[in-house]
Amino acid sequence: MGLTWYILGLLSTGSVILMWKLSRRYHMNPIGWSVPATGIILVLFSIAWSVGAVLEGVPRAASMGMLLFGLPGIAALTIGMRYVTTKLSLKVPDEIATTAIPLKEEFFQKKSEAVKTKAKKTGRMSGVIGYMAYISLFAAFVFGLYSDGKDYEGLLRLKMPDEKLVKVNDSPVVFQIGDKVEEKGQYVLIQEGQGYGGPFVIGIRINDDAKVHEVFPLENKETPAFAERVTKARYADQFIGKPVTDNFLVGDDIDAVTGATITTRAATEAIRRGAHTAAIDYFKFKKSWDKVPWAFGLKEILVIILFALAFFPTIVNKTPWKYLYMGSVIGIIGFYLNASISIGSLAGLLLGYIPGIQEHIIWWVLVIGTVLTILIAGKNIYCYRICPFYGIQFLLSRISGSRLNPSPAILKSARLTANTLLWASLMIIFLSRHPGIGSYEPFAMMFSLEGLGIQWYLLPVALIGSFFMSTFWCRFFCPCGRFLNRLVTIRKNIVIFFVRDKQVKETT
Amino acid sequence: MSRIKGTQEGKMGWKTILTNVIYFAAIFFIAAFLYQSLSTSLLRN
Repeated sequence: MGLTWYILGLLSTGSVILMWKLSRRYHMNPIGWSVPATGIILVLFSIAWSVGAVLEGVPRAASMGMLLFGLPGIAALTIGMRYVTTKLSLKVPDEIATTAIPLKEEFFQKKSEAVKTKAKKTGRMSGVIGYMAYISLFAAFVFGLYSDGKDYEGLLRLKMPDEKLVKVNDSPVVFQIGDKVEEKGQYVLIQEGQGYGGPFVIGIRINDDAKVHEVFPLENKETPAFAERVTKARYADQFIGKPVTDNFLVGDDIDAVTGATITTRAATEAIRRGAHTAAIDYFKFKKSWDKVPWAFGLKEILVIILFALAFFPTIVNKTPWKYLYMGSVIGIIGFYLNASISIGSLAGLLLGYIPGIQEHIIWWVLVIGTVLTILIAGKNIYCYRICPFYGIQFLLSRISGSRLNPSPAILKSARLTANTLLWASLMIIFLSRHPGIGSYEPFAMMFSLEGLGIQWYLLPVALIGSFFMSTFWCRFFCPCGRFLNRLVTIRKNIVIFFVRDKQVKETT
Repeated sequence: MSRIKGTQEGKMGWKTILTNVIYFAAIFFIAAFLYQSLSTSLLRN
């Protein structure tokens, strides 16, 4: 902590010197003084707050401090500096400023040439590395496919050590408790429901009174933060004592856990399937429950409208529509629904984790809609249009007015770095068959403020980066964008291959 | 000018240093996140 105070002291002195230099250079007015000064105070305060929070072992508080005080502080400082340097008159004529333009052009020209030359070289290299990456991903996919198979039976026996479990069915797995009887015994069924991250596997104990007596979550592949909510909440208690012929529908006789609707639906689907299987197969009841209804309400309509509007260039490119659209996307797909696509959703699609359309129209519109648009029209309409995190970055960069970049040496290898991160993420997902854990985007936590461990540090870095460098996350890191754009390229290459093939045939 | 834009005479300006630091911080946290995922899911078994 001593070091923090020392650094804060140095920063404070630096800030005072900065303000003094500004006052010597420009005719300062109250706005010129107050806005940058507020910014400096907020930034210093956020540093002290965050370091203190990290030392106390509360990374979430550190992240919140950086977002709530640091980001407005940087915004105020930048806006203040822009105001001072552009609106206020100089005390001394600035000779350097007159030579600035040619120098600037020369600088950027050199930089772009350097980037182009390097791009050619890395292009050849990345060709070879690219093939190896695809091969290793395919190998990981196959390996994951065959190594997947958790011992649910073992898990269940661990949870019920005192009971005698006799397996009476394989698909779905059903155990009878105690000795086998023909009718109305006590059963434990293992069933799964599909969430966004993969199957949610649950064991359901049904006694001879044909009522649910216990539910055991055995495995889930949901985003850890959401799964934690469902397992922590008293969600499971509402099933105890329910007859197996009940509806088991979220929003009907089951309450969703706030902020984790999808995970709740997945878990409920598993329990519903278990209860209804037992009702028909073991208790010989007739179907008296309601069918799963189509979840089609305001949320779904809003998402369909926003998705459809993304196809109109006027709406997404021209002011004022652009800002209106961006605002709606941030508000609805971001904060209201928290439904942004992540690499987890796309990798989940490859792994075959597809949730039912009736209850998950939003997922279908956004994920399947985006992928189909790429496959059919060759256009990625998600990035730079529907993605709410892009909207946030765009607005941040508009506020700062800053168009900085990392140094050219970094820019040269930026593509390779981003591809390597995407590859690492997909390898982890394929090997573990768990899309949630390899998905490193901070979207979900930005809009729900739920995250685990390191994710809390990534979000402020991504936002502060976007403040200085336009579309920082999209350009340098977003695995989802990289995946979608890669899909566009693959489609284009396939089309070119076939068109060329056709042309060759026609000429011969 | 060189002080502001950075790399002109081989020197790195404070803005470039700042952006580089942010860039590497992001890489560091992503790598740390992926390592955490790897160690909790795959290396555990």
